[in-house]
Amino acid sequence: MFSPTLALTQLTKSFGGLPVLEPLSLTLPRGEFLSLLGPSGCGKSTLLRLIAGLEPPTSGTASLGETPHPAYVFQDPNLLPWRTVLSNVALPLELRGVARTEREQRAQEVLSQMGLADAGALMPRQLSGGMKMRVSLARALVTKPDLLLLDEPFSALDELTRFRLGELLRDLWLKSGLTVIFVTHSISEAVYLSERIAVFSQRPARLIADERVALPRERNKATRGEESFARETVRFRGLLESGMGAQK
Amino acid sequence: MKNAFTRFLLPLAPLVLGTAVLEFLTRREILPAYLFPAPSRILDALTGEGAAALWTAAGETGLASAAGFIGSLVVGTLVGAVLASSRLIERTFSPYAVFFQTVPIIAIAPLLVIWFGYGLPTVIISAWIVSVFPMIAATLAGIRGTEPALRDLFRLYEAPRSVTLRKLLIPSALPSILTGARIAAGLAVIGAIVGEFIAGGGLGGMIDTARTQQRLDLVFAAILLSALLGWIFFASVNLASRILLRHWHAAELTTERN
Repeated sequence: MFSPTLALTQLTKSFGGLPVLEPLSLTLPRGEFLSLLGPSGCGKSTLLRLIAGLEPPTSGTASLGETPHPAYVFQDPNLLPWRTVLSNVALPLELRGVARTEREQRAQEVLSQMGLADAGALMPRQLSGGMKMRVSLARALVTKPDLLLLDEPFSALDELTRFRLGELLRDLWLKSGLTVIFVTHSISEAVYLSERIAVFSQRPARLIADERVALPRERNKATRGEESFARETVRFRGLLESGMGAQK
Repeated sequence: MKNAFTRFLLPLAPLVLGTAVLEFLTRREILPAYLFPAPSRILDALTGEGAAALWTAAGETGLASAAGFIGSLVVGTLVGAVLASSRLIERTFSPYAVFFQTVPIIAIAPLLVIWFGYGLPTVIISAWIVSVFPMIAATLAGIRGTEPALRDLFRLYEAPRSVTLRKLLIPSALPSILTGARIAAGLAVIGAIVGEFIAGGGLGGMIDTARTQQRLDLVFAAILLSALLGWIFFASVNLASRILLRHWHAAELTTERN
């Protein structure tokens, strides 16, 4: 139960001698929902890329334990425009050599979970922004990953759609026991979604605080209106500001 | 009705008017026949007794252009894909690709005759040389323009290079490749005709001979046919493009759903 899914040890990254990430050590138990909160451009997306293995670290290690293939959701939906929705969702399975009937069946299941049961035959350009992001989520989940990495996935969406997708993600997490790392610059989004928030300073990213969110596991629309939610938002805002102040 | 008028009849008006004026000027011998043949004589060259030779020549040129163009499609896409696979390979070989674009075909056509003789092979190679560069450049630009996040996605699922090429890079570069093909198609016809000027045969050979015999009606008829060839090539690529991209580029359905 508590074997870590992810262990970062003295992880750093610089681009051309310019440090982006100061030495970072952090462990993540299985089933955690962690948000990486920091100002725009602070290097938290780079951290996510290091964890995914899309970028080599300058020093230190990011060990994924028994999770050889994490799933990744990008800032933009990034669907292949020449493929149908179903075929886009099935792509990761296709790349791993799963047979057509099986991968399409599994893609259809995940699409239904996302409330897009009837959208399989559509082309990406026929979808709204929110639907595209649901398809992108479905594509990430189709391989049944243990670790889901999300890089500001809802930042381009309107607020209501963002709330709804947040609720959807939270529900998915509760039901599945997935481990999630969610990059965001929105304090309220981090507080609503996650169990634990790692707060980073401005570039180069330095870990300022790594604290649990004092909210119940079961959350819904009403949670955003409760006093405890407001209190936690204010608290993490204070932590975030302490990292901004250090630079000014 | 009004739409049909503006689309088809209006563009025809200058042609009809211009032809009428030229016919008048040449019949009255205001415009001497050794400078400009009467439109009726050009039409006669295209449809009259000697027309069969002209159309056969057009067929020859069409065939040579098509062969050169298809060669460019295949070689250009392959070379473009190889150049796109690494910056090092691109730096090493792209100057040689640029050579094909910058060297005037008319200057190397005589060399081609020495190497490949008078006839079809020289003409095909000439068509190929002028049309291969746009294909290389378009493929290279298309592949380089692939969304980096999509490359990351394929990397994340450990797709082999060949799979990434087939399922991501080539489809993603397709609009660019087809734009290159539109340019290459027209150039292939020009390249073939230039080749025929030197190597003989086809419309190019015909224009060259007719010119020396003061048969301006034949020259004009051949020019019209080469323009027709170029248009057929261009239209074919357009059609192929529309079919290949119909699902994602040509927006047939843009209904927003929520």
